[in-house]
Amino acid sequence: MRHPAIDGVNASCAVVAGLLGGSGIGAGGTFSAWIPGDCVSATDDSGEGSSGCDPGYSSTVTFLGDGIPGPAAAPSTAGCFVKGVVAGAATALVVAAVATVAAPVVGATAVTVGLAAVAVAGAASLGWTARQDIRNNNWAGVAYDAGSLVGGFATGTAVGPRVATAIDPNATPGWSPQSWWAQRYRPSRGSVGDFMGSGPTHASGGASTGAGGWLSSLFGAGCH
Amino acid sequence: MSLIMLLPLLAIISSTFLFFFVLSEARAQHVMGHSLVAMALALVLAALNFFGVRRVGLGMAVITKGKPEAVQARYGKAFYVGVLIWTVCAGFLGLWMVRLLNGSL
Repeated sequence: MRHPAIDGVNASCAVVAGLLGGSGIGAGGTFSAWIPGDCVSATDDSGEGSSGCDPGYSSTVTFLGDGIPGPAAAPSTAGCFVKGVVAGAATALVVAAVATVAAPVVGATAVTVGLAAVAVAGAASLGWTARQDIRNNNWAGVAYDAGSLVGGFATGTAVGPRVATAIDPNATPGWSPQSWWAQRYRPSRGSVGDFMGSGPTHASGGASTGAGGWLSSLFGAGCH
Repeated sequence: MSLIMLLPLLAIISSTFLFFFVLSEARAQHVMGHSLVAMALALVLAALNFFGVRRVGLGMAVITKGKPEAVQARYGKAFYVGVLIWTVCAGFLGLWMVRLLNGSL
């Protein structure tokens, strides 16, 4: 049975561990402390050091060594960043492959709308997950999210021209801001469906594929 | 010729990230005790971000008019990276605004 105040008592356990450090318990391992009211007693793994207190409530604490309690296996921030880069890149590649394969089958309009939807979903998931990780002080998770952003962005930019060309062989290349105004939607030129059917440019194909890679922020076991 | 341009896409991606980032924070802090207010606040910030990014992009198009194609492309790529960096900063700016609002009410 867990005492309602057991979490607040864990600090007392750490003090007990510090006191017992000189007798060998501080070298690592686990010990249990019983806290019936104000009475605190402890035993090490060999059973030494116990008192006659009533063992009504108990808590087990894991020690990394020198009497300092901590998580058994904290994920590494750098490792999670690399994991995020790989996951972001892999997810962007999957998005690119699906778009490339689906374009001749379902048509340019459906694939363009799908790519935009995946990009929005990727941005949403990254925003939500990153905020949760920051709120929980989970810096390994934040590193994973940052890795997803970088991996998705880099891969999307690299494969964007291929994706755009697969959707429309005459896709507009280049990054010129001049085209941003010229390519805007105008009702006089047809419906929104016609506009979406014209497919992405090389740059926007890369941006949407890259943002799709951010969906990897939803995964990341061991970091989130 | 493809017409889906980069500018509105970047504005949408940036604003979506900001919306969910702010919404997550506002819900966690129970801003004004009402989730509808939190959603409205996130929507307003996302809309401001959308039109802001769009405005800057179109401004850049005017500035680069008449410059060589290579220079224009460089500006376009810089804008692309700049919006991604701004997106993360905007998330934290939104976070600060939510906390400011929550603290003053």
